[in-house]
Amino acid sequence: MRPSSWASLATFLSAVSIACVEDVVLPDVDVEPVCGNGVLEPGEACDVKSPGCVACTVVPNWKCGESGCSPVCGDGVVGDGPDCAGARRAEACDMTGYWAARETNYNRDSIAGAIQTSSNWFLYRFEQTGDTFRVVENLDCGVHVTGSITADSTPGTLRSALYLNRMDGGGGRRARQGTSKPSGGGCEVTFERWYKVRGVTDAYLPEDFDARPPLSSLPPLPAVDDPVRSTEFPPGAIDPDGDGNPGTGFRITGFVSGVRNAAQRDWKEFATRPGEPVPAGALVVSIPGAFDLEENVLRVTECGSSCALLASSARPAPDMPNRITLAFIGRERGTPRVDAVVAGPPRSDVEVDLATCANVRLVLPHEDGR
Amino acid sequence: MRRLSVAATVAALTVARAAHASPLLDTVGPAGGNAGLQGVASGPGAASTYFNPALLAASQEEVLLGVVMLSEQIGVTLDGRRGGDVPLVVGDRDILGADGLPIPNDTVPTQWLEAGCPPGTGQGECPPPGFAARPRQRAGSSGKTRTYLALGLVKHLVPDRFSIGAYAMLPLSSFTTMRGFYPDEREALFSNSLHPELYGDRMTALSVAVGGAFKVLPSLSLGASLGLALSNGVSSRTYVRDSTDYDKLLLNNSVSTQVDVAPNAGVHWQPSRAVRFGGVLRPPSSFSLDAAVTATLASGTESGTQRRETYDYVPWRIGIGAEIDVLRRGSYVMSVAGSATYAFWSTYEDRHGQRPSVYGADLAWSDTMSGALGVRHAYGPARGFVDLLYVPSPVPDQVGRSNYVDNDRVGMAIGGDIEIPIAGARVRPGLSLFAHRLVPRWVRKDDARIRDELPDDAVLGSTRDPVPGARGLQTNNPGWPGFGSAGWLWGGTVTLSVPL
Repeated sequence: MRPSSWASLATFLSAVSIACVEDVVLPDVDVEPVCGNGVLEPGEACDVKSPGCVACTVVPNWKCGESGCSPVCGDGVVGDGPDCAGARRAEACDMTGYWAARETNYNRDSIAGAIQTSSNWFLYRFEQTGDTFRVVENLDCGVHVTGSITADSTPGTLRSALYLNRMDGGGGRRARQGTSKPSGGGCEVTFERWYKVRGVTDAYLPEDFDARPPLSSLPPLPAVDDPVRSTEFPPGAIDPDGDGNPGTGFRITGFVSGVRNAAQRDWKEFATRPGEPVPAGALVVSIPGAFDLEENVLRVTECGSSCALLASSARPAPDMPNRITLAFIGRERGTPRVDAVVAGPPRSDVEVDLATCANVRLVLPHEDGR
Repeated sequence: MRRLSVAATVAALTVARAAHASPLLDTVGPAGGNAGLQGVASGPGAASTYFNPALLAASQEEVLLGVVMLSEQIGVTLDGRRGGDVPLVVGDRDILGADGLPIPNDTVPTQWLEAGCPPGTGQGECPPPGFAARPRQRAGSSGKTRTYLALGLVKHLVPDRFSIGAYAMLPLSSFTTMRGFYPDEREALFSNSLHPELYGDRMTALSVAVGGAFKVLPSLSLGASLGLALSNGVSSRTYVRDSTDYDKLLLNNSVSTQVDVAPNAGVHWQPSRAVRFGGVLRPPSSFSLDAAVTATLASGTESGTQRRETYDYVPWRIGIGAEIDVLRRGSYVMSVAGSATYAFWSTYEDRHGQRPSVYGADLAWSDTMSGALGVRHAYGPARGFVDLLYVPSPVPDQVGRSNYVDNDRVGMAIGGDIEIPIAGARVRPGLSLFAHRLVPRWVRKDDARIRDELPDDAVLGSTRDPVPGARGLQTNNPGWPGFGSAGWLWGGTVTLSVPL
């Protein structure tokens, strides 16, 4: 057989074979960015371990790169160099200005006694004269609870709570006050006891806060016999969130889920311990405190077979490190630092204030556990 | 990138050293002789010269002529990527590592590989003719079909005492090619593809064996054979006038070809009429290419290096087998056959002469034990066989830098022949078909073991600013973030055995 014949045979045999396999390159993967892996991925504003980067979002008044974040100076905040290293308040113990606040309180659920960590956020503007400061503006920016269950203010509660329990001197009460004065190289800070109610009228508040009455001495909160089946709207209860049920609503998720409407009353007070002042000029200070809480569950809904569990209430855990954490924003609106958080004049527009509150929660994110 | 005009004198000396290698024969199995996939103890014939030369003593005298077809359908699937691109800024070559030295020039922007770099002198352009695109797996190796001519001879020079044989499988197309590729990220600069490690160019190896068998006892034969292959030596001297224009290259080559050999040894023992045992020992073999390259630049600088490439590597193998007649009724005989081969793949050297263990002790290859089982039938002038085969892969999961593509293989072969009198001669035409399944395999890379081609702490040389996009893993490793492979080897053999 001549070479050309062999070549023809080879060609023929190759032709009858079917090349049925091809290499494949799968399309690139559009994966959800993994927050916390240290890699800046699409959809993330940052991904570094820093107080300036929370949930891969840059916290207002911080700037972040791929290696870290640094605070922004200005409006009462000073620091060194272009990165504002060692950022601190220009007025060491003067509380004047806008502050984001997070009250961290601990409760035990009444079923397993498990610790639940509650964050309640506020926007404050303080004005200080001498050693005393007072609240000039405030917004209640909602609640988030973690532990055996997770609880959040419902959207209706979030909106309605913004302006309740005024501390700015409106509503017929004087403004809430505190003190801040130099001490031992730092600042000694107090924030006086203040009473608050949710889901009931102000009639359940003490007439005189300065008398510091215990909650048990006050008129009992409205109650119902069976929050699961009750259709009763007990006297004294209100429906601030407009959901048609008495009390303030919280969305519960976790091993049980549903909406719990409750009547609540509490007081909180904060003071640095003797000899343990907060650092002078610190942008973020944490002040220990005490609190008490009463709660009656008035209605549970959207709870399926777990309604009975939702009807139980929590009790305070005074042995835990209850505290308030204050983060300095800036001194005045109209400056970049304050405007980065305070979206507009407080109490002028609900939507604007909700945006402000979202920034406040970002500045001081919820801290689970101790 | 700057255009360099360099006049250089380059002297390249390439020396090839060769030893016989027969990965093709091991994969396809013997042609003719009713040997199926178990030539170590079954089917004496011309192919026994390679598979067990001791069996030549039991073969009939013959001339074997055959055509073999092997279709290699091995598909590689590369996983989609989730980022990891080397940023375009690397193309400016103004990137310094933490040691203050420029990052290696083998790191190129991923975009260049996928889309090329257009020629030009502006920003984002490369010196003419530009950087050609090399999309991932565009130059893969799947879907190759090859044909071979099988030739064989068995002659009893001293009847019942000494026999000789010859066997060859000659590619009819793509005659003996060798294709080098890197099994890691370096391959991105060439084909940017993954290739099956133990197939492809190894299936074009020239395979020729000659040998003999000596019947030392009526029931015992010993055999030996030599594998033959071509050995090429190349000496290249080049004068490079302009390193950016190889059209101006002056080149003198010296090429030499020689025959090289490697021995096989076999034994065949037939303690009774119905029982037959066989064994074979094969030493490692490969086609190694040693290249010494020296370069002299016009500036007087001299540089030189040596490289070794290894093709068609086959390790030490020990094979044993048995064939037992289980039913004999008149002119009908049924036999069962079994065989096993232990291969020392842990000594494997890849095409660049490196052991896979360089990528980590846990990524070293393993020795393997493969096996085959089957039945044979003979009824008067007709014979037939069915064989099943299992060949485990020596390659561990490729979780690191390396991308050796290989799979466990299960196979089946069926065939037979029949003796027909033609013009006074009793010729024996035969046909066999085989199909091997490469068991699907998929691996996901461990990012921590991939070379990060752009360090996180790299800085721009001009400003010392961090390099945007340097955080995390950046790699052009074509196998990252994972890949799979599967496929078929199938084909057939048509043979004609003519008695001498």
